[in-house]
Amino acid sequence: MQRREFLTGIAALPLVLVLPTPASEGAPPGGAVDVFPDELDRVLDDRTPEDLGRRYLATRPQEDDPARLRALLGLTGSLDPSRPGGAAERPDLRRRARDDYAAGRTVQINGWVVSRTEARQCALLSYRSVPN
Amino acid sequence: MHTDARALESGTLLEADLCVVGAGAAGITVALDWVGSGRRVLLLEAGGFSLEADVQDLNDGEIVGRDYYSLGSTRIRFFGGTTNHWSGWCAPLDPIDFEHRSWVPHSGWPIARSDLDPYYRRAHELVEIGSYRWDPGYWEERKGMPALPFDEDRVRTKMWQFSPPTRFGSRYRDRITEADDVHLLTHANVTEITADRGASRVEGLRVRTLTGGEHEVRADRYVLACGAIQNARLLLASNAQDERGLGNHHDLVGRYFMEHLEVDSGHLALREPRSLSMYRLRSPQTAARGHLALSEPVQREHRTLNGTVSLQPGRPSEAPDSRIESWPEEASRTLDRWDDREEASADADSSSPDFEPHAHYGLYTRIEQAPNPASRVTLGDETDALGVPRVRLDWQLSDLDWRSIRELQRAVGEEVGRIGLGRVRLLDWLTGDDPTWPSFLAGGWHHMGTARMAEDPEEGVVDSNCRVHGIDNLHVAGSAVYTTAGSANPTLTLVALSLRLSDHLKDELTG
Repeated sequence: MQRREFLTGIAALPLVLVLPTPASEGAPPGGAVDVFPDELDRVLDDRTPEDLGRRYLATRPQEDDPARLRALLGLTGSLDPSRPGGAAERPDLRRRARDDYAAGRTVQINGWVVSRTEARQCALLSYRSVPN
Repeated sequence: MHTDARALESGTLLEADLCVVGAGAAGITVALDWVGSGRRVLLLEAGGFSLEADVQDLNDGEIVGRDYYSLGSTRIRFFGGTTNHWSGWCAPLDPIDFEHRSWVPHSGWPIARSDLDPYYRRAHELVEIGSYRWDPGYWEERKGMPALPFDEDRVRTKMWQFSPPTRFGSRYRDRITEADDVHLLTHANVTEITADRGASRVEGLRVRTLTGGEHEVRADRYVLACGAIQNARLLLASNAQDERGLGNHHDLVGRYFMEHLEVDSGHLALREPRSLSMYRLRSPQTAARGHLALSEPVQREHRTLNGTVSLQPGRPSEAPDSRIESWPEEASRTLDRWDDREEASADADSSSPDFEPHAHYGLYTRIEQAPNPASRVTLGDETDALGVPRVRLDWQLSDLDWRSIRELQRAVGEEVGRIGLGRVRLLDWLTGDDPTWPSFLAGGWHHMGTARMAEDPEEGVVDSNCRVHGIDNLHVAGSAVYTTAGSANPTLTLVALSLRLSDHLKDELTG
């Protein structure tokens, strides 16, 4: 997965979540929250996360809203690390995904068995191809 | 002692204390157990010591249900039976396989795994596998190959051991033919079991040869050990006293035919290439191998059947070739294939136990099918060269079978994700809402269940001692008696069951 290219693309969209963290080192100018599911890196093909995201939203239209997805992922409150408490509020999405697997909170999208957290991350990423 | 039935004068009467019909894994196991007993044991084999086309043709039959392999090539009709093309995979059934499971219709054996444990130990010797150790930890240490750190309450590593494979015919021929108290009669085809007027006791067997000879056998006890399809055929065709056939008061003989479903099911994509040596196979160097198996709690929680997943290096195909369609109809060609494999294995470099790391593995399911009364063996309209009706196989599956495969793959996918190993993708045929079976669904040539075991005669053909309900002196050996197919290839268990039956018969005849 060409993650840096991917983040460059997402940075141009309204969805940009400003949150420089160690995970987003190398992110494009302006910074973008790294919502890419860490452990899908090197596992899925380049375009698969977006495709999974779109497929996920197609079966759960009630979540087809960036703000709602951010809320479901815990990406709420002040995410700008330049503001007090911003960075501290970023959830550990990798941990959440692992917990999902342990608890059976998984979904099957196009055959892939992914955690609900990862599915929502993919869904959030899928908006990058949505025109402004 | 050995006699070729074709050399006997027609009309010969053969008498014995115990007559075993069929000299495959089950029949030879029983006969071996009586060597030195001082009893007269007659072992009847339809073929000789090698494949003969006219004898093998007697196995042919009609397929009317799901596609299935040619019945003329899945079973072998000469001394040693189907062990002549056995692949050697061994594992005991799991304790849950014997239990009544409320979500699996018609499940529940009248015996438990603990009843078979001592016989499994003895069976190990006959199939020439290692110690009676089935815990992965033992093999991890012995092989130096770690098992995946899955939560054993969800997905566990189930071990298999590999027989050389033991060809019962060649391996045990001398012990049988040199025994004073076991008389092997080859080219002896049982065409009918004759019973008393009430069909409650077997009086004898009609034996015919392809050269025109007709003989009669009389014994105190009889054991049918011809394989699940032929056992059912003989019982159904022996209908002189009861038109339904012997032991068929409740229309159960031939029903509940089961296979182990074997099918490409998923794709394991790893975050980095790994050897996963514990789960790899290289014959004949591999003494044991792990599969991924659903834990008992997960089976109970998700109401699934029992099965395992093996790892095959490389990306899986969405449309692999159909084994059923591509497998030859001629038994001689299937035997040739096994010979080729064994020669290749013998030439393999046994000095390199390492396996290449791969980033992608195919996930191959092996799973029991649910007992299904609609899946059955009946008699066809045609007869064979000896005048016995040929069999008609109607193999049927159920939605539970399909759903269990999907659940198995999903559970493996969740554990793979939980430990961060990679991710799992189910193949397309498992992603729909409605069960659909792919063209490449195969079976393992594991024929089971046509004379199932149950204490209640309305639920099964034989009782817990493998005696046919309602017939004092007729028993069935082999995988025909399986109440459920369980999670493992049938040979080890049918050998264990045959030893248990043999002990029971000794108690009866000597007690």
